[in-house]
Amino acid sequence: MALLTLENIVYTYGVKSPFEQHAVRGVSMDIREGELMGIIGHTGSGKSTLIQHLNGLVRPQQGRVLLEGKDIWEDPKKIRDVRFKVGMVFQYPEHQLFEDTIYKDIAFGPRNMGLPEEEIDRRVRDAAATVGLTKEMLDKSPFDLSGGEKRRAAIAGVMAMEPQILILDEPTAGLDPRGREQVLAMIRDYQKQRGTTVLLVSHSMEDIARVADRVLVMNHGRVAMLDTVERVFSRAEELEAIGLTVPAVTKILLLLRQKGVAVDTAAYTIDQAVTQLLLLLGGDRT
Amino acid sequence: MPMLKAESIRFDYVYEDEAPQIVLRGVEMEIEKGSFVALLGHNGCGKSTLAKHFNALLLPTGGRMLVEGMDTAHEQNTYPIRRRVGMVLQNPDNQLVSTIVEEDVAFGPENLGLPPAEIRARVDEALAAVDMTAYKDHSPHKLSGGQKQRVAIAGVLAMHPDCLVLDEPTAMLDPQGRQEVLDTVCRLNREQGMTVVLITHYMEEAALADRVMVMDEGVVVLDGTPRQVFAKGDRLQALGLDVPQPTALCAALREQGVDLPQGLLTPEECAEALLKLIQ
Repeated sequence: MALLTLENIVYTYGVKSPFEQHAVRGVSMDIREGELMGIIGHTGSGKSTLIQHLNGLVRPQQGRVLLEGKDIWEDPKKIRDVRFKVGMVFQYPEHQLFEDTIYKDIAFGPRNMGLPEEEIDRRVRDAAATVGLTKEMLDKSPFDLSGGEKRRAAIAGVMAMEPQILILDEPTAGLDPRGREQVLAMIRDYQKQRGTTVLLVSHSMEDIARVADRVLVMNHGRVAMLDTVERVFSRAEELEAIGLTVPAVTKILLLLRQKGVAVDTAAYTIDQAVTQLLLLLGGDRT
Repeated sequence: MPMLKAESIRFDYVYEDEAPQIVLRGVEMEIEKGSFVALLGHNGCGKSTLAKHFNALLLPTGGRMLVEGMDTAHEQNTYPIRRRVGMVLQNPDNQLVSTIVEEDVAFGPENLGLPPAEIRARVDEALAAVDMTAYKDHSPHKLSGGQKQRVAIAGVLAMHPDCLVLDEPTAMLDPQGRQEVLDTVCRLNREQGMTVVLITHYMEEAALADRVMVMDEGVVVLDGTPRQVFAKGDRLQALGLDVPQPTALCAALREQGVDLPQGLLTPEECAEALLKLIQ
């Protein structure tokens, strides 16, 4: 069974006002247990509005959100429990660090869940280890950490709630290449080790290509594609047509194909492209 | 005379009860008028601190910073320097001050005490330069990130600077917004001869510049054309940076014995070189 199911979700901002804007226009999809799904779409494609439905920050105007088969809005008073099960890491989460030590900040979520102190302590230490923060750092003020460390501390705060689904909105935005690499590797490890379902919203096709199992492409409030990474990137021309940029290596293969070279354009990492190109360039070199 | 000249600049952040943090350890650089320089380096390498020296927001603790020959340390130079070197920062929301686009762009020239007709002319010209004339009566907070950032650039252009310093102007933008801002910057450099210093974490953006400087631990460690700098893939990786994906692909193919030239930067160049080999 799917962990989370969306049934024909519709959401419009400013209904019956001059600013009426259809953000989500009928989205149905399943999110499977334990998968890492990448979500892409240009600004205004409805992806942010869509993910806000998944933990009840936004209530669908039409349609249903089912978590383990149960409508999350069946009892609106219990929506808080859904937010513990579906954890959301917003863009620039480090702006939300507020406690005077990293430990207290990571503990904030679990404490709100009413957990006993020793369980809170275990979770804080687990989450800190997952994101690669040392014991010494836990006693520091968030202000004493580097940008990348702050980002990881903020993500740990949501991980410590041990949600069934972890949603991250642009977790690598604004980081330098090494910081991006660390955050992506950490998300992938977390998902592999715990089997938690992870949704990763990103503008970077390269990032999604590296870590995701499946990709959801949103366009004009609808699902444009939902498939494995290979199949989505093999439709590179369509992706470009809806204003998305494909990874640069995919672009190179596309350009070759446009020049009449018979090449499979499904490669989206450097290793895959090397394999493809070596086939074309003749086997004597390998 | 160079637009910007750093002579062994040192800079320390001084704290009350802690040891000072040394950020710049003797930066030497000269940036010629009309050039387009990309400044790279991992977080904490000192590049933003250096950029703040370019218009006297920070003064060096040691060494000299010269802007068109004027020493930033002399107070009488501060205003002339700030008119020549305009700064655009990462978050567009932190740089817009007014509720209407054209009023926002007019903010700088109004503060220069220019006559109204001159202000009008500068605002129109600046908005046209960033292709935002159609939005002059709009409210900035309803614009997209790329549009906001272009309004911020227009606000700087209305001051008629000779040099534009952009500190990660695209970090918070989506791919389309990034492209809009980059197109604008490239056009200003090529068509108006504006000196541009672009700080970025995106290697593809740095590849657009005519010179790339890489900083590490408060000094400049690599300096050259994008081709020269990105040919040093291993060194860049050791510095916590990347090379553009096409360059990395070519390097991987060369390792397999494929005869590709060094320093191909864009997908187009790379595809063209491959096409020659395949045919």
